[in-house]
Amino acid sequence: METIEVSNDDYVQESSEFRRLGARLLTVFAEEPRDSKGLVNALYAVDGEVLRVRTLTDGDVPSLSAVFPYALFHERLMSEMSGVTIDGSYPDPIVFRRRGAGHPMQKSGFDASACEPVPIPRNATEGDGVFEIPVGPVHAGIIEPGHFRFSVAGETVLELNPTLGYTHRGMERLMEGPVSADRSRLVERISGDTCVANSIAYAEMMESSVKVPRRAVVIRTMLAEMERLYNHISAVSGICTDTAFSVPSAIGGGIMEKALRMNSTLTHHRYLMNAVVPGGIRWDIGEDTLRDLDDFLIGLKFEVESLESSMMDSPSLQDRMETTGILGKESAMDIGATGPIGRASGIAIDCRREFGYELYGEMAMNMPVETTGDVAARTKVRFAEITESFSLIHQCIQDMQPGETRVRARPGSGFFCSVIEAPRGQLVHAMSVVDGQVWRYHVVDPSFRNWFGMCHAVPGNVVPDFPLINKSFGLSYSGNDL
Amino acid sequence: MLGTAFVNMFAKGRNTIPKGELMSSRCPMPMATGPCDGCRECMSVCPTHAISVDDGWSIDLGRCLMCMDCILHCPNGSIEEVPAPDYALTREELVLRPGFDVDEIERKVDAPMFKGSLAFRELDTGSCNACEVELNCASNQFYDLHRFGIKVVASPRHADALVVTGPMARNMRIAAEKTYEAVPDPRIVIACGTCAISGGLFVEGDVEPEGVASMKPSILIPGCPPSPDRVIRSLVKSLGMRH
Repeated sequence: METIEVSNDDYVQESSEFRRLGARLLTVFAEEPRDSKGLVNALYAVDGEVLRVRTLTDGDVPSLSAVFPYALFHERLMSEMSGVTIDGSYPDPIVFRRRGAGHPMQKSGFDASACEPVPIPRNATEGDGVFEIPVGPVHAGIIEPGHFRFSVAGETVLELNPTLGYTHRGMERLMEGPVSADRSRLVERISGDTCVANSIAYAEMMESSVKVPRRAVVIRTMLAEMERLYNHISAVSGICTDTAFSVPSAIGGGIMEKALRMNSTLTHHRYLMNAVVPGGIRWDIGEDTLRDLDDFLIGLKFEVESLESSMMDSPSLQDRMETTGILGKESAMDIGATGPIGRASGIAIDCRREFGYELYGEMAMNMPVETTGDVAARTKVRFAEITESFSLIHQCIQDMQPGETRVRARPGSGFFCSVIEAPRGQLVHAMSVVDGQVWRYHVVDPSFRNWFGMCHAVPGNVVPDFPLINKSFGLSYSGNDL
Repeated sequence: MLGTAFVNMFAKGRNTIPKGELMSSRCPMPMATGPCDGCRECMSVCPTHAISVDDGWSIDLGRCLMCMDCILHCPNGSIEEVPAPDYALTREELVLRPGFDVDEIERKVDAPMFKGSLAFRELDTGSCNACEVELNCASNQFYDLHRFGIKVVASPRHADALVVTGPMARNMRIAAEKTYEAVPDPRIVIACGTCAISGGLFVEGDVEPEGVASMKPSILIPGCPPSPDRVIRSLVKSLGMRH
């Protein structure tokens, strides 16, 4: 990976240069070097490569949000995590949401138990007949905690502000320590239903000096697609649940359960945890199991197709989905929407294609893109991606050659970054290793930016459509909160 | 045609696991079944330090992630998968040694008012969301939680029990306390999953030091995450519900 060192003044200039070249910003985060006060890293994706721009700072850094509007989200996080001010001030907190005794990523002077919660601000919308509805953090269904404030006039939502951070467990700090210690168990629990993507991202950084055996690469790719498969099935059947479309909802739940059971056959875990490790995979998958998987997927494909037609041919469901929760292309670009959410709004980016990690570089795949940006478009993209996953898993099984499945990974020193297409979108892991210690570990979950996409999509819709729009985004709270 | 309609109505596409089969199955756990020479290899690979070899081999099921790394790394091949108890009522009972008796651990909880039916509310205190997905799966057509008389309710005010997942993140403490206060007496707390029982991998993280233990859970369901059948078995067995 190339690193460009710039002065504080050139930092924004460099960024607009990159924007002109068609690059996009992956993340901005600060680390505390041993000898100076602060170091800010901005990572860009340029033509399938990651570029790192670093600048030394004495505690303040100019904002990149004039160039990339979504940079502000990363800067807000950087500010509360590392204590760096942005253009001279502290922006609103976003994840940690407590203040008082240092910042979580500072090497000294931080005391988590002494920090006091920051009060949640009222929404800006005011006026006659405008009410504010607070919801959460504990919700009515079995889902993760998050607080939402709607401003409504009658049934129509005028403004929506989510307050997240309730599941913040200090994951980035927990990742620090000796680099030789295998943290793949921890990385998997960043977000339980994205464990394969997270552990592949971690493993890729640990394997920079070794060549992973081909069979392991193929199996990992297959597992990543199995993960995408059950995530998307869960998301589309969730749409049926939230529109009280009971029979397809029950059928979707059944298809997902079958996929989970297949996962358990493949890796002894229903969510594919404990399978991917730095250097390969934990245990091989037998030829018989692979044949069973191929047969199983043919059956499952028919079931998914029947679910799709029952959803897409239902006028009443289409009526709920079409023109509901529109995220326009412009807003999607501004908030940096990733994954299926971005692709449903016309942003044709897929990290599997762009970076060609694991086996994706040599596989044939389509990229489904929709332009309407509504719930229906997101559902269509998900169904199309399920079909793609079937094809990719089949290609993996065809490509499987006998051989080794694990080598010893020897993590090197320096700065590493990996960008993975998780089921929810672009997942970025970055790690800097100094003297055999993980000095700074940084994760950007795809949900982190997409949450703001939801704030753009909900206003203008009625309150009862919120659960539907929320489900169509299908975001992770624990991945966002880390 | 009417006949086909009836068959479709009651049989087609139904995959429900029979009650007997669901209640009699068991989840696996690692256990030393052969000789242990005290090499501490299993202790060193365990990500949550669940294993201890001093004073005889023992494993703390409340910390175990069931990753089975110990089985892969034991040089003598002495550790094997054995059927695990579905739940325990106290933290001490989850520390298991070779030759443990499953029936002795799976005691009934002292809450006779819930043996007919149980309405629970799920409370996530910072889990990785795998526990939530599993609890959702407990309502699908395979497990069909509701046929046992167990119901998931939308408000803590309607609940008999709180099923708590996650290690009690600091940001969640106030909300968790308020949710607990909103559950009317008599009430029980059920700790679901490794994080809720012991903090799991997050004991060093930004979580309350005492964790979910501060809510005095009366049923502890280990697993990372506990599978839906395990959750159902734990509730049915511990509350003495009919099955």
